[in-house]
Amino acid sequence: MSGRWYKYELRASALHIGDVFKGGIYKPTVDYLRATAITFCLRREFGDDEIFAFGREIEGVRKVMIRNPIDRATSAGRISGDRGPIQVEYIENARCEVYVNKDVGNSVEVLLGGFKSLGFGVSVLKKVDEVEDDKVVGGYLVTAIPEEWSDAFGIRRVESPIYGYLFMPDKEDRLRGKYVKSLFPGSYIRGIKILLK
Amino acid sequence: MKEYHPECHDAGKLLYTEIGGKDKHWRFIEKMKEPWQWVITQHHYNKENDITHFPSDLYVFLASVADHLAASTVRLEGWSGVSNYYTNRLWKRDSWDFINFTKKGEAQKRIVEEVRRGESYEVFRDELIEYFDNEPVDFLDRYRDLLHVRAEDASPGANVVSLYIHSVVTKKFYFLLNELIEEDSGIKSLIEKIKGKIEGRFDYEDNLGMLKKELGDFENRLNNSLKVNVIYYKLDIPHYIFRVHDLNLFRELKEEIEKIRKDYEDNFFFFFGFGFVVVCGDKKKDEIDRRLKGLASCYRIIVRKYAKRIQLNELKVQLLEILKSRGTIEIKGLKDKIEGSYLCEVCRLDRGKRYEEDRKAVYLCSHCYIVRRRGKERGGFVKYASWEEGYVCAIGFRIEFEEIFGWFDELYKDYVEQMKKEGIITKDNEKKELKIKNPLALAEEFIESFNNDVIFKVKGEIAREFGDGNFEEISDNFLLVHLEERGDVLGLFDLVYKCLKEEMSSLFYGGVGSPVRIYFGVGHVKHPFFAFYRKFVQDWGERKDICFEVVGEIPVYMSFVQLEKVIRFKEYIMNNVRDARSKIHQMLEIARVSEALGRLAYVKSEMGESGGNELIEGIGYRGLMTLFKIFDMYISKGREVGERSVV
Repeated sequence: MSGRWYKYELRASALHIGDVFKGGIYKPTVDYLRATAITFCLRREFGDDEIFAFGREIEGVRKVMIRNPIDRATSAGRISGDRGPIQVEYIENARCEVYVNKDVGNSVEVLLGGFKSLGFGVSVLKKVDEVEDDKVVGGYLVTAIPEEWSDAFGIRRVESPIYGYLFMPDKEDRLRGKYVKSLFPGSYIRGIKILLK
Repeated sequence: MKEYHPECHDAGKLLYTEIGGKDKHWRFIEKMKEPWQWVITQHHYNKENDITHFPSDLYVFLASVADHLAASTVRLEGWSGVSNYYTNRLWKRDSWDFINFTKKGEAQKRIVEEVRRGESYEVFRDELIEYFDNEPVDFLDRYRDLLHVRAEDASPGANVVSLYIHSVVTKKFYFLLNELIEEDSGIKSLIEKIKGKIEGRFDYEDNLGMLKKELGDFENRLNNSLKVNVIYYKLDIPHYIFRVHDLNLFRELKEEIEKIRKDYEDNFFFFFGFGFVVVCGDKKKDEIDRRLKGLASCYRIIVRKYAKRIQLNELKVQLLEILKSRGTIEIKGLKDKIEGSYLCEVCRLDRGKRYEEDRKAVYLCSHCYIVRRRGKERGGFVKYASWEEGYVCAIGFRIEFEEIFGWFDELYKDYVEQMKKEGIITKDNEKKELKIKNPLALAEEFIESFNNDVIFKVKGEIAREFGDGNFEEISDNFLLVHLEERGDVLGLFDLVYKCLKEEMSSLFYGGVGSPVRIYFGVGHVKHPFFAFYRKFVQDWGERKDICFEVVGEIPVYMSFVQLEKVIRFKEYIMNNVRDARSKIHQMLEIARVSEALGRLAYVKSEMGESGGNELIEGIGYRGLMTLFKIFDMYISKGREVGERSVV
């Protein structure tokens, strides 16, 4: 893959990039934009499976929203202890540098992350630059990337990995899918500079 | 080999003796029949002119080598001044003692009489001499207090390491030397030569200088030939723990590491939290590696390993490099893909199988399920489980090992400067850079002091002030405190500040980056545990000593100097509580609508001149607003001045 990346600035008034954490009343958000979240978001938007993207650290103010989900059967709020009021952590006035391997326009509006029904995730991507980054250097990874996408993101060697799993949706039914072994922030790699802290 | 008891080698430093000449502390016992008596009387052969005080066998020689390896060697050539027999710990700046510079004999007497109140020096001396007639199996425990007070090296400016830690480290090096010699077949001929030299030592009775030189050369050759593995292990717990029974992981992990530590006690250094340094030969390295790999796969933890094989004589120089190096991560048995809808809820590194728990479905891998089940069976953490209402404050203590040596050097420069001002060091060699050449013993002592003087004390104070039922210890360095209101965290600030100020006052002198990190996380009592723990173990960026996080607010990062300012500012607020209460409340209400208007309200409130502006310099306006919210909660509880608030 060529070393050309399109740099975008993402802005969202409230963003929740969930920590793939099942159960519990607390829904934490991570402070980086993992490759799977932004890549599949853009692929859906443009119908292009050749798009690869990742985001760096998300800046903004962390807040917690307490939300009481409605029980559809009774139309009443769920009570505590029965998956009752949930605490959704989100980032207010979120800003993030996003790099995309294709030019997806000067300004794009996308829906990103979790709890979209609560109004989270309305994001605007504005193109700010084009970056030619072929030089391979060593450093700590700043985002999370599936290991099988390493080549596409210019990762040459993984020297000290921190592994975890990211969800990869099926092409036909994006609610189904599998978890793939992935490199997480803090892994020491040799790769292009924009991936590193 | 145990009966040599190398930890006793400097026991004579607790006494003053003129037997055989001034300051020959090793001559305080006259009997030389048993191995431990040889170690005491013969380990200083290079300062002796009597052949009977030269090593009787190889193991006594090795005890002497171990003594040199463990020496802090802060003394610099060309210095002169007054000796001090009391240990001045570098991190206790406010307790540095520049008065107890008495003559040798008097100093020893005073140490004994101060520590063992009611017992005369003469009685103690007779007791110690008699003690070494039999095997000294409990020397370190029995004389712990005295050994802690007496400095290893009383030379001007060198009294910064206690005799206790020096004795412990010497013992460790002694067994390490034995282990390395046993493993290294290439060293056999050198060992035979040393043995031969020791056996034929009486041939040198008229030329002891030659014997000293040759034994010294053998010591150098030994240190140059032996290779040692230095491994810095750091265990990370990436689990998403949100149920009390899952905390069993911390308990089991601690127990497992304790077992390993007990089996390899003499190879463990810098043990703190879930990090430690192992110094050992190849066989033990493989064994410890294997056991830690077993823990990694059994508990799904991340084992970070920073290892290097070096020459023994490079240990002092290379240790810092090893602590700073990146190292590798051990994590075993991960699959490339996991099919199915659920990952394990706790470790998130394996497929979650469905289990029924209190008529609810949970998805756990077999490892995490077993840990949770064992947690239920064993019970524990009942206090944390019983907290239904209110808030919790998580307090965590960390030591950044890679910053510890640089900190010591800075503190030591300051110490020497003070000693010069006091006229204690009268002449120094200014050309040489002031640096602690072998900080290993000093770091060991610092960790011990941080554990015993700070963390242990903080735990006791919390239990006393907040009630034992409101305090839960998750691991040695991570605690939970039950609070009625979030504002109560200021009481914890006071408490921790007070302990640090008393026991680690050097932290509060600006310009010196310390290795200590303290985390305060406040959230609802049902806030998941992992959210606190994750923030605690994260990197907080440069020069951030304290992280104060209130769930839903911006985390506040500050230095210890800024913590002191927060405490002072709180005192100001409590002294002007009526005025401050309305100003803070008004300011926060305005800031909720607009940050810019909030800033204006802050300027108008004139709280900046009363200490607020000094805080902004370190933590920023938003950080200050977080603190104001806490102050607001604290004041709203109706506290008056003097009630658990003023230090």
